[in-house]
Amino acid sequence: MENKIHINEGLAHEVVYPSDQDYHGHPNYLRIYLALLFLFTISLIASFIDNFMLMVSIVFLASTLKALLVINFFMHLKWEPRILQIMIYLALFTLSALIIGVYSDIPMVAHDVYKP
Amino acid sequence: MIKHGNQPWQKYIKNKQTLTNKVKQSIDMDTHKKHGFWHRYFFSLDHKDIGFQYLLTAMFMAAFGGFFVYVFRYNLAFGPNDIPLYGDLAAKQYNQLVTNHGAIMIFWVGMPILLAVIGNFLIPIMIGTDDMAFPTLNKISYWIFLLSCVVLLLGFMMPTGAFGGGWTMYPPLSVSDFGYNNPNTTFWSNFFTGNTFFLLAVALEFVSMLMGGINFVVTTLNKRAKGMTLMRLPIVVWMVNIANLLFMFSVGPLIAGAFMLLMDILVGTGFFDAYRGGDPILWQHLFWFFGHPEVYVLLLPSIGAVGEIISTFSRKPLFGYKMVILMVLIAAILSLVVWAHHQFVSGIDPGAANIFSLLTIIISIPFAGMVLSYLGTLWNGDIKLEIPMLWALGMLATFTFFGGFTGLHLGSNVFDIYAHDTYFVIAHFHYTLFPTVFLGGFAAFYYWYPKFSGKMMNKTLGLIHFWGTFIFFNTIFIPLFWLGLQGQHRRIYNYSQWNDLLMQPEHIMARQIATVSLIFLLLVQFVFLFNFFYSLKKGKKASKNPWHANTLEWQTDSPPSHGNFNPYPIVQRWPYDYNHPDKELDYCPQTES
Amino acid sequence: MDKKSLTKPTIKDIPQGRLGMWLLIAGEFVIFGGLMVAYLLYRIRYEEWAEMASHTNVVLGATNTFVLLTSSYFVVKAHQAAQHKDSKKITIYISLTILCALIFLIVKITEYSQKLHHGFTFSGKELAASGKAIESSYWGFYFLMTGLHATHVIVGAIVLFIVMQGTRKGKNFHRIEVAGLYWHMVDLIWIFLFPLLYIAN
Repeated sequence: MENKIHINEGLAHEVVYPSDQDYHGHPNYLRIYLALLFLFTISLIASFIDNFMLMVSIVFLASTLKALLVINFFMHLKWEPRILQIMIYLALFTLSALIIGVYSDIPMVAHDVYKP
Repeated sequence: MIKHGNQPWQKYIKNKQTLTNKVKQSIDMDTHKKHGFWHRYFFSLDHKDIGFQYLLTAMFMAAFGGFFVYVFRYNLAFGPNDIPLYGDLAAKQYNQLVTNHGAIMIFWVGMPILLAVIGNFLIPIMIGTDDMAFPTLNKISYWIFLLSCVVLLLGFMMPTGAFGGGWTMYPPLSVSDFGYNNPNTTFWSNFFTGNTFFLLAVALEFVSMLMGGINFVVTTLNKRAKGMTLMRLPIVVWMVNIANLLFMFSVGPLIAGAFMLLMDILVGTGFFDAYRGGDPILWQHLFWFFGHPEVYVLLLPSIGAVGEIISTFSRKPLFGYKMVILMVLIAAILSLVVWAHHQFVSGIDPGAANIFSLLTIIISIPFAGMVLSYLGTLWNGDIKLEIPMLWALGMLATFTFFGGFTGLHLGSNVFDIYAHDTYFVIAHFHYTLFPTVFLGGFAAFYYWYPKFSGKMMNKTLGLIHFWGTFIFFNTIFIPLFWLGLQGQHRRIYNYSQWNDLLMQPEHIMARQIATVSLIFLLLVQFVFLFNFFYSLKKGKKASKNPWHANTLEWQTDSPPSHGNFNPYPIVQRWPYDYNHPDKELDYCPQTES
Repeated sequence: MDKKSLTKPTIKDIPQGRLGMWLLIAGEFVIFGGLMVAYLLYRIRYEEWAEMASHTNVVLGATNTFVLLTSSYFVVKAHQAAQHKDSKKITIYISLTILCALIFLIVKITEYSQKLHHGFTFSGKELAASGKAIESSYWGFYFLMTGLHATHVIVGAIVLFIVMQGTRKGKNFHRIEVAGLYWHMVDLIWIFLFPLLYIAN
């Protein structure tokens, strides 16, 4: 049963993907981990920069790169079929749509709030 | 001495015993239906039984939603006193009934019927497999759904009464009595309120539908029968899956917002409190970011079922199958960026409002393409006006001509600002959702009833049901369009308190026409209920394929046994080969080469 | 092994547990994303929140980031070991992951007690009463986001523990990967929570 090649006949409970055979490879995880730590150090160092915009952009760029490393190599999204990749990135697209749509209503509105 | 259990023959018998036990177990699995009532309706893992559980629960909730609308419509036409079957209606109760009518009809009737029932019952049979990818998860999601119904109805027994702040739960109103605004409340006194229970019920319902949605998508992508490529899937399976993905991607911000609102009520945080730096507009954004795709989540499965029915009863291939899928994908993605057209009057940025208005009008293009391809299917078809076909045509006609076209008007912020708080919006909204949920839902129901019950429905009763529903539905909402354009405000409990507010005889008359039609509409549904249970017991036995359709579910028994197929089908062609020139019959099942 | 599935996997080749987990992750992204978007918009709007953000403890936050990144590495090593059905290695790596989760939670508790000690509570009633009404809802976001994330950490650790018990009996090795995906998602969320709450002040 364990050595059965994954041919899905449309039956429940019988689909066992052999765990020692998979279509995704195993990159050198240690290197990716070190790259993650490097990016982490960069964002820590960047937090001492006085220029706020520069600091924020470096920190978020580092975070995005970190996230991409984790999602592509640790989670093996790089090896998954294209449809799944599109689905995952579509989720992120919806968020960017949300932030753009709301932007003119929250941050750009002056807050004349009552202050005691 | 011979030791027991060690002799070869004893081992043989032992092995045989376990083998027979195993065979017996598998036979037990096959005769699943012979289990008792509790086992079948409460603990079943079979997707068909779970679909039936969803159907019954949704019908039960629909009875509540229908009763609520009867009470408050009666009040609007004939005054709040001595409402038959209810008594006097206070203003607070009016708000509670309107709120819960809206929420029940969308979340506890529309979503379970169109997503869960259609998805559960049809997806595994239509793609040619035995069950869902995760049967246990499927059962759990039904249980959570049932729990959410109970929580919602428990809200009516809270000391403060049920929630009455509108199904959209806009913050200042939904929080104002609790949390930070009312220092006399504690966590638990805030907890046992209609507001908290309403929010919890909605959240539980979302969790249930999310789990169900993951299940449907995985089933469709991963468990298709041999030869069932994506481009051979029936259109309704495509639609249910796109709807599920849309739901999954859009509901997140609202779940986050619901957490925030819940904390505002329970603990007294200030996420949506303007004094504390929060912004009520943000809730509206989070809500409608989900709320607009939600309309398409309901629409897509329904229009998919209508596509199946139209193709079957026109005896023609579905015109532009790939175009329909493409159009739906475009519409689904566009629907994520049009949400603010619900907020044109709530003080959003006018520049952004123009963009949203433009996008809203653009979204009508893919839908027009979809409707055109359905009309292309009907064109020159050998149309058979069976009951499901009547419902499908009714759905397509009312949805397009009244729901869609008035949507174009309301999508423009110029007109919307004038019409937003009037009955015009109510009529528009019901012309989109009533055809979607009920006309489309009944079309699917009458079409697949022979498959899931093994019996044919009574045709005369079906005709009465269709024409009654169709006529009275229109006579409810056409007067409301007119009233709305006359300027009748939509959030008023008792018009007789405002003598300058449209109390001329013709306005009163229009309101009464709508209410009387509504009462008839509700009465006609009893014909359906009678037909449903009568046909289940005494209906004519249905053959395997009573409509001569192509899709896989018609190639197995009616009703399908546990496991659906024996042997499992191998798909050879796409599902719409009606009147194929090479074939003798006017249909050609997907399993035929 | 089927050659075709090695070169070009189709959507049907994904094991269904993994596909389901990916869809769940997409859903979770949007939930946390909604919270982060809401926080970010308010954060841009109110300069007062920058002062509140400076009260968060960068050292503790950085420790937690480091701990979670390391745990992610352990999980992926466990996944690699699961492909060779090496239950000993799996046990080591998953135990290390759970240890990381415990360290994370201990640091979190320390942080929470510091905040509560300074009068920064979840409801922010105390702060609002002292005249800082706008600032008070910053702490609502802080506690809601980190609290929800910590709940995910706890759930992930429990799931990993259960799955590890299964592999020690020599079955269900593929579940390590599915549970690992969930764990990576927890890490991913923290990757964005850390700069949002701790660094940008």
